[in-house]
Amino acid sequence: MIDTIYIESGAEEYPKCKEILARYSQAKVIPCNHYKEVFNPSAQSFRLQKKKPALILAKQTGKLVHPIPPSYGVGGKQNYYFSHLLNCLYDCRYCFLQGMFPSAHYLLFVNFEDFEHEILRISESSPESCWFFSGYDCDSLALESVTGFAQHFLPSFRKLPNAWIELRTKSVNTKILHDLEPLANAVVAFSFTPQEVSSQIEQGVPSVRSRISAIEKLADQGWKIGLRIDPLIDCKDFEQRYSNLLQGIFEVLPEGALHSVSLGGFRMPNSFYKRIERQYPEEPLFAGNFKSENGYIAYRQKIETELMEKCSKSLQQWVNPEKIFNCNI
Amino acid sequence: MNFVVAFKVEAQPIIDFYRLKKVEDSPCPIFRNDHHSLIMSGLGREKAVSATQVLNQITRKANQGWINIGIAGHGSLEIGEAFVGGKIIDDSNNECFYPPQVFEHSFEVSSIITCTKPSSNYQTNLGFDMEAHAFYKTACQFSSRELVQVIKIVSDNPTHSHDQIKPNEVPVMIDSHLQEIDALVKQIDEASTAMQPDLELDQLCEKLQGMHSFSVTRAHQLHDLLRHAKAIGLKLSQIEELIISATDARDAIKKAAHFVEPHRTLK
Repeated sequence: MIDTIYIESGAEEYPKCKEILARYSQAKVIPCNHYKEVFNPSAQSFRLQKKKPALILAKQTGKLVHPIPPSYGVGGKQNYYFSHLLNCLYDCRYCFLQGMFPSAHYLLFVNFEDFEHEILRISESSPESCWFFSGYDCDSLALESVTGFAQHFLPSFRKLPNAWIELRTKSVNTKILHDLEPLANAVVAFSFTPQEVSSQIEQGVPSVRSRISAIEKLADQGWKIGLRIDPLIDCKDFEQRYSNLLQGIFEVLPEGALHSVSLGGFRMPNSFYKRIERQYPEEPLFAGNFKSENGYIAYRQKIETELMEKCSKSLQQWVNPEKIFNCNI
Repeated sequence: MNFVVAFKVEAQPIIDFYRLKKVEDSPCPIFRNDHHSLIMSGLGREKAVSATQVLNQITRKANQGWINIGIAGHGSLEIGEAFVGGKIIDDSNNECFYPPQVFEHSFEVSSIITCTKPSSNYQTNLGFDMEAHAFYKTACQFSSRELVQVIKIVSDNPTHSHDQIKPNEVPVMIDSHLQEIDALVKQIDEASTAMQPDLELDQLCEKLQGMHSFSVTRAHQLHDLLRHAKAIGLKLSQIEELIISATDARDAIKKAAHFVEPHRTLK
């Protein structure tokens, strides 16, 4: 799975780096002075690299924890994200990472301890509960077998009652969660589009059925579950497909296990969208009814409102409206 | 594929393998067939830069495959072993490049340093040559970095110094790796082809622009409409008919947009 590993000078001293190198002893290892030499150059093809991403092991020396946009939360007042990993195992055509990063290589920051210290500092200095979102620039669980992220961070969060962690994922690689006692302050949030949509624009993503099955098992075990119906995709038979999706989920997910549902339309900065469209000019998704406004590409207002309303209405058959959050620009 | 090779003894096996024919009247020796081109650069950075630029001017297409093949010294690998440059360093300023390794091959991947002079200062896990860095830097101006690669065959190492290299042994060394080099060439060429502009679309767009007086903005709109129509599986001939029947460019865009509109929802 990982054929090539770049190691930033100094990163090799970290336990996480040593652990990964021991596990991937057959990989071709290439030293680099700074991860940016590998990750940042222009004239790289994200699309080509996506076929066989390398792993870059580096140290994050910049800002470790960032505030999230005000409209992106799920009920908390203090919301942050942190990115121990940039890029994702899956290949979703709507994903902004394709437009934001010049490279599709997995960039793992191995100084986990520094992230933990910063999370601890923020949560201790906050009078209110803080939320920490871990799946902003990656899928929180899909590369668990490589990164050991959840295995490392969840025990730390267990000791932080003032902090919540969201693991956002499309993965069914949930073994690490089954091996742990559920955390009262963790939400395992699964992202969905209907299977008919997923098959077209989410390459490599486990089937909707298998994700629902993973949710069922985690909920049974006592984990709090989040649903992220985001981005909503304007598709044929929208109402029926999304209704089927929700029905499939709520047939197995008791409302008591549901923490929150968030809905969001497709939206992306213009510059990211243009970059992605240039790489995938033949992609039907990009022939959608989009408009550019205030520097962002999104569905035309009328369409977006319709999609949100239809999905909200369908959701309200199953979910208390207090648990539904709209994520808009 | 564009090959940049320093010397005749390194180039000849490639010329023979791909049955390349000499191009007359070129500043450096150039050999070509319908799919591949090879230029002999001569020794050193400046010649590698110049040869890469010359070959680009002749082939004139963005995102082609580029490979620099040749012999090199190495601190750890055996004589005759081939490696791909995973990190390419310039000894004059320590500038580094990291050609992304996205294709399947079984070559070793090694760092290589491009030196100003031949070197006997062998270091573990490090190759030496005199062109790779200059070649890579230049070729990346014309192509995406994944499509530019450096393949070297070890001609000297700590037990066999560079002054012991026999020129008549070089073609044999290169030749023994050509099957595997060709497998890599095919993958790079396939990726290069996939990155080329859609000629059918561009030609149709150009043809349709000749029907009415399109402003630059409307020409872009027309191209986008045609691209979207093709992406969602509409027949371009139907758009062509609409545009031919339009009264002017504005009407053409309006009609084409109206035709595409109901089909924009994802299937």
